[in-house]
Amino acid sequence: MSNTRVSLYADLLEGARKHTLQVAEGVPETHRFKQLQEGKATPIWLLGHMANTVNTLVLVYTLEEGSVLSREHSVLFAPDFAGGKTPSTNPDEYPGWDEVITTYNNVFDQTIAGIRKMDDSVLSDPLPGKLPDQLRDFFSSIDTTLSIMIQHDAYHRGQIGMMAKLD
Amino acid sequence: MDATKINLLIELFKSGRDHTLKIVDEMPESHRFKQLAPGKATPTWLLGHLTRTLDRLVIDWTLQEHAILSDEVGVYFAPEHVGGIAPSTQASDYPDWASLRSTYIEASDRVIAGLGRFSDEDLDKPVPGNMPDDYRTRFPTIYSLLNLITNHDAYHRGQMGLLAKLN
Repeated sequence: MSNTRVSLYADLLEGARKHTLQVAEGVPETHRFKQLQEGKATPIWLLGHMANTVNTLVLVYTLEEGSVLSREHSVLFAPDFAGGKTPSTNPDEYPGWDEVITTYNNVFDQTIAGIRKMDDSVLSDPLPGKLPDQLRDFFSSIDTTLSIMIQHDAYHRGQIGMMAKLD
Repeated sequence: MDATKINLLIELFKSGRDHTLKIVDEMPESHRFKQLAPGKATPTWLLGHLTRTLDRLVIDWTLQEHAILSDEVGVYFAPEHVGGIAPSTQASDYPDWASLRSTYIEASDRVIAGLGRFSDEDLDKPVPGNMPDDYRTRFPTIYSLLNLITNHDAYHRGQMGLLAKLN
């Protein structure tokens, strides 16, 4: 029995959350719906998308826990290719910024707690939940999925940071 | 599956490197100097900046090996807050895309090889090289620096991906 890897994954996700919240705090209120082109991601969409991705891939499909996001919000923050709604700059279509932050935190709280209860021996297993077949090659194991989640968070964090600094 | 922390950090770094190279190879030639506003990062600057960060933080300060980039070249890829020259869209200021790509590969190969000589016990040690004090406060241990490195690549890769997809 070892939990060296799962413990490090949990620590790295904790670090990712900390950095993302720092970047989110640096987004001026005026920039929460900043969009570089029509249909492209906004900071609020990216933050919701980061929460939704960990929620779906880890909390639901890996840990088999209940979804933190409602079905409606899950669609709102899913990418186009996964049946999501195209990002818009209309605030009426989105929950408030603080609510998205809270959702992101709740997803990470539950995810990190769940990962810390795992053992390294399960990391090579396929995701036990109802992951669609077409995604099984990409998210081929729990280990691969956790690795992708850490990089996914930083990837979109960089985009939020870039938009936050524009005039 | 190797259940050591250092091995997982190296795996994450390798995976990140592969994803970065995919974005580099898919970057339209027309977008290599795409800039959202004067003085902001371009894909060319970001690629050089990833290399400079590996070169300075890992190769020089952590592995204590000879840096790849000279100070004269490195200053073009350093952030302004550490004395770097602001990114420009002037192609003649920069090495060409192929050179930047090969230097990134050289740096990441050296990082992977160098970290392969480390053990988990090394992760709690201070960074051994001649790192400035302000960096030492931010990165009190080798682990904290490697944690940054795994995030840093994905953070700027996300920005390159964003710029690549703009019209």
